[in-house]
Amino acid sequence: MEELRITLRNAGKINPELIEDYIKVGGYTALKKARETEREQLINMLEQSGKLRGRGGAGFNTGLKWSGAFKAKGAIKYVVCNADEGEPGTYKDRMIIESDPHTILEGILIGAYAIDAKECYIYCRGEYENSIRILRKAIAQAEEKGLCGDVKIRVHSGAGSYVCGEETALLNSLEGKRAEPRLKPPFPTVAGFNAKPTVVNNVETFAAVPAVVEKGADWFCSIGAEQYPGTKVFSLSGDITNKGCFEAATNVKLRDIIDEFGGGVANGKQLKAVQLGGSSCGFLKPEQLDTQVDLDSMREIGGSLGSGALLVIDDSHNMVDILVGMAKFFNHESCGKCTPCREGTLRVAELIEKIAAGNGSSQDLEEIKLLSDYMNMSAFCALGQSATTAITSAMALFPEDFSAKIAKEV
Amino acid sequence: MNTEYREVITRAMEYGGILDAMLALQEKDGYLTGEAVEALGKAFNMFPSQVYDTATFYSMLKFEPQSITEILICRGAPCHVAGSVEVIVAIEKEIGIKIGEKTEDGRYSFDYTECLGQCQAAPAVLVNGKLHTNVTPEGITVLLRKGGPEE
Ligand SMILES: Cc1cc2nc3c(=O)[nH]c(=O)nc-3n(C[C@H](O)[C@H](O)[C@H](O)COP(=O)(O)O)c2cc1C
Ligand code: SF4
Ligand code: FES
Repeated sequence: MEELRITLRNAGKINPELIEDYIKVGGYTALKKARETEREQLINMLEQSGKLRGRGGAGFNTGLKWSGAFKAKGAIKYVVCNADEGEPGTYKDRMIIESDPHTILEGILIGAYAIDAKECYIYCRGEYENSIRILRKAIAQAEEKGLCGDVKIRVHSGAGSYVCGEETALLNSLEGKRAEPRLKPPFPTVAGFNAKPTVVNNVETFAAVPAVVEKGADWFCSIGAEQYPGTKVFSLSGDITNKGCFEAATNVKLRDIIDEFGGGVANGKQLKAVQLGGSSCGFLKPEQLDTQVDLDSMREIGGSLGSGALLVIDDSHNMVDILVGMAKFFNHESCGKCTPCREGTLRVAELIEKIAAGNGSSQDLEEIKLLSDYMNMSAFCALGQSATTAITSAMALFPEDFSAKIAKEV
Repeated sequence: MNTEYREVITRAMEYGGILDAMLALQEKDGYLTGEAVEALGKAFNMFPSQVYDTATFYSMLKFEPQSITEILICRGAPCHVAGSVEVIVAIEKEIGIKIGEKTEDGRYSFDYTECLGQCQAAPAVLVNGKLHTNVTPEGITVLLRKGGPEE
């Protein structure tokens, strides 16, 4: 099986630090084409027929988001690129940035034209020093070539906070505040950065935009799943032979990504579980893998596509041991704004650690379920709401791992 | 206001935002000093308390001098699956403290960091901010033995 590359189409083929290389392979022609198109028509193309859905996890229709910001009142509007990439197991945005930064800039500039924004920000996680450097260099080159026109793009560094990936927390961070999520509505398209209409999209979403504009909506819609057309970049990790990023049409089966691109489970071991979407998502069992990877199909089988992080786990692991780090991750990254998440993630982490150490009881499991229900219902943002998804999913799919840990109980 | 701080902030504001300025100041002193916070307040038109309010949210920012060698190991599941537990044991053995602790002489601190986005080459370890990937228990021991602070 071959990879189908849209956002990674230039990866490895051009020098990411040379704008000339990007231009030589047709770069920035989509921007020109976009600027020659009526704004409404351009947005409509993405919205109605393009169906480019956000690649950051939630899968919202990009054209619809842009049209919201386009129609919103106000002379000042912003475009923000979310390069915070903090979901454990995810490194696809870094790959796209470091192999082809200009395709992202081109996507951002098309977005800026579409909603008539003059200022754009790329919020990049602080740990990605190299990505930040590459982006800033690319921006300088694009400015020098006059491609930005009167639009300014700046890269702002994060400083080690996962919740900044949540778009409203990101906007608070950009404004120089603590990155606590905001109440929605109002949505960023109406009141985002500095309370002005703002489009926030993921790196991979922006990277797909030039191809959609250049080759058209029909072309894009002919690829992949009907309701989630195009491709998705997956970042493979764990007990898999080939670790790395692979881009595939969204109607490819999850098993094929693991076996064909990933080369199957490493060291001849047996597959035990797969976690698609990162630590905030549930697990899947080997028998569920013959499913299309698009967002809706994954949802139907109780999984999620999320960021496209694909963690493969072989049968030498007890799931409880893997869950300890995940529970602590959410506790560490909880912003502390709301009690269910701030206290809930702490209690859940304590309980899981206790069980993993062999000191747990079946009552502890019941308590985790209860806490999880509370957090699901009452946490302020998706971080708290999904902090226990992996745990409850493992409880349902691998009860034997938990019983093995609490076996001492009489 | 200390002109040196102001220069660092002005330069950072040319390419980024307040967090870029904070990171640049931290690069200079090893942590955000009280003076640096005051300079930030002036530059961004904030009270020092507001600067602290923002800065303390972010785990990469520090407010006191750090150990000479700071070791951070990734806690992410991909690194766990790839054997980070054995690496933790090796580091604990080599420097004589448990994860989450500092040596009394201020030479080493050892803690977790969240996923570094290097999961294709797990486990990942940061030694004074420098990234090491595909780390093995043997490899990290050798590195720490030969490594001074600048390693
Ligand atoms: C806790 C949390 C973390 C998130 N992290 C990211 C992230 O690192 N990158 C990202 O693009 N979106 C992230 N999101 C989703 C964003 O809120 C938002 O939906 C996305 O940036 C929109 O872009 P898209 O429509 O192009 O996907 C996160 C959401 C939550 C709740
Ligand atoms: S759910 Fe957690 S991360 Fe979200 S607002 Fe509440 S405390 Fe903050
Ligand atoms: S899990 Fe360690 S680098 Fe991603």
